[in-house]
Amino acid sequence: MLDSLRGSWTTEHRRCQEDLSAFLDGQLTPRDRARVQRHLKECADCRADLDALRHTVSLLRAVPVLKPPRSFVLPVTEVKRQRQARRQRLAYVYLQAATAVATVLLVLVVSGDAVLRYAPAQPGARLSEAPPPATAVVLESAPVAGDSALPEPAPQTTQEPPAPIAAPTAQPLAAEAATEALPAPEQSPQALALEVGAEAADAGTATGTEIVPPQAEGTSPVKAKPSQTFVRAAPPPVSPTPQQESTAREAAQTAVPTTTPLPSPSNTPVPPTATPIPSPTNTPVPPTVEPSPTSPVAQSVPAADLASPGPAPGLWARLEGLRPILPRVEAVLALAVALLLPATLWLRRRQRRL
Amino acid sequence: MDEHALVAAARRGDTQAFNKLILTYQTLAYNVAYRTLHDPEAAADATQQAFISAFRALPKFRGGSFKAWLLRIVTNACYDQLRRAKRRPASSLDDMLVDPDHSSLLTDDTESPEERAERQDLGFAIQRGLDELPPDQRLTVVLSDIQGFSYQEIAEVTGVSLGTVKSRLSRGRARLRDCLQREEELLPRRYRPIHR
Repeated sequence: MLDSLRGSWTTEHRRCQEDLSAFLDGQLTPRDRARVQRHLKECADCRADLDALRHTVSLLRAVPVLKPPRSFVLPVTEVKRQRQARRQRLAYVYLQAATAVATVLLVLVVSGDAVLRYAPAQPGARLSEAPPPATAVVLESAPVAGDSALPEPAPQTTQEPPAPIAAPTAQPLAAEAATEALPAPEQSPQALALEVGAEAADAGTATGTEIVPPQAEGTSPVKAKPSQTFVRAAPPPVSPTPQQESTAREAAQTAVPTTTPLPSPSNTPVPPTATPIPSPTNTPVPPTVEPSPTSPVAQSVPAADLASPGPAPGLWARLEGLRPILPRVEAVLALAVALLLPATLWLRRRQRRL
Repeated sequence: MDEHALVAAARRGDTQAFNKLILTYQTLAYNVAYRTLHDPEAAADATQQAFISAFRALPKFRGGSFKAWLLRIVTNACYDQLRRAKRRPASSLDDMLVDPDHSSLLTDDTESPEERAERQDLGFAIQRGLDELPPDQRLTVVLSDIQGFSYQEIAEVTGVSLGTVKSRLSRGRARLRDCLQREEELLPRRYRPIHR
């Protein structure tokens, strides 16, 4: 009993000791304040401590104020220094960005140059391959033809491949087959084939229309089965390009080698899965895209579709035209990177020091 | 120009305006630094560094009490100095004994030379007691009882809660009281009756 009383008194005493400082400053809640006052009445030690504490605080308040040994006013140069530092920070940011841009450009140009250099025939191939699609299409149509019960089935399709030789004609073929009389030579045959193909897809049996290609300026008019063209109607829409053929011919002249491999696809008679797939999915990719030299067939089909959109060949030609200056561009960019990188690093080190 | 306008001008990079603020606060800043560091050179360095930092950080000042914001920078600079001093604790003891700042009190014309000398001794004795406190308690006691900051202001400057301010102050004062009782002979006679 006595112990517990003493215990609670000790607790009270300790709490009072802790609260004396705040008590002095009037920072206690009314309840705590009343408790401290109650304890102070009973505890002489706490009263003495409170007095000593009060005296200590009064001594602290009497501590003299010291005069600063010097003025801490900032010199105007400080502002200049800070402005300079800010400018340097900005310069660093810009330099960093410039270095990054130059590096990225350098990588792009070098890789682009590499693409142009190691696949030089590709553009030509693309353009000259305008006909090959016919072969490819024929190939893919082969199985379908069988399905749709064509009067003239497979044998003819295999005959077709030679078409590539007569570059311009092959295309018209398809067009005619589908549309009969669309004399406008400018209009892309593929487009027509597509339209008609879409409509006539159900009426797949509507065969037998033999068409003479109106725009076949080239040579042998080839007879095509409409069903074949229907099949190939799947390829994406194509915009008509008047110059296309001329460019195609030019390209064909320049890039003869690639035309030759084309027959090879036709040798493999039924690659229905390999060829048809690329053609529908083939969104006219800009010529900058690296042509995959692996499968000539897969290449030829998209190439044909690519060749048809007007801008593509021109763009490629323009890129080709850029080739001679590429080394100079690379040199300039490399120089820029070589100058910018050390400058950036130097500024960074300086900034850290600041 | 009032403080608000000066702060606004200084934020725009006006050094003149900021220098006016420095003139207003440099005595306070230096005294806080000195009482915390007990080294005139270190205190001056901390004060100068604090003003430079403050000028640089001014765009980040989001209103409120400029004094508290500035003092926070000053106390941070003091902690930096303390850390540095800990790394090479060379001459602090000598400084304590010499205490050259006793000659640089702000003069008060109503004070007699004797009174002044006694106050210098008092400052010396108090400083010895402050030196024995942990930095947090020392700073709180300096701000509260030497500089007269409110609990709220101290909480702002030191970035702690009111409760922490209260307990730091309580412990710091109690320790200082015990220290002064122990070494009462160091106190000038006028300030002596600190008996229980």
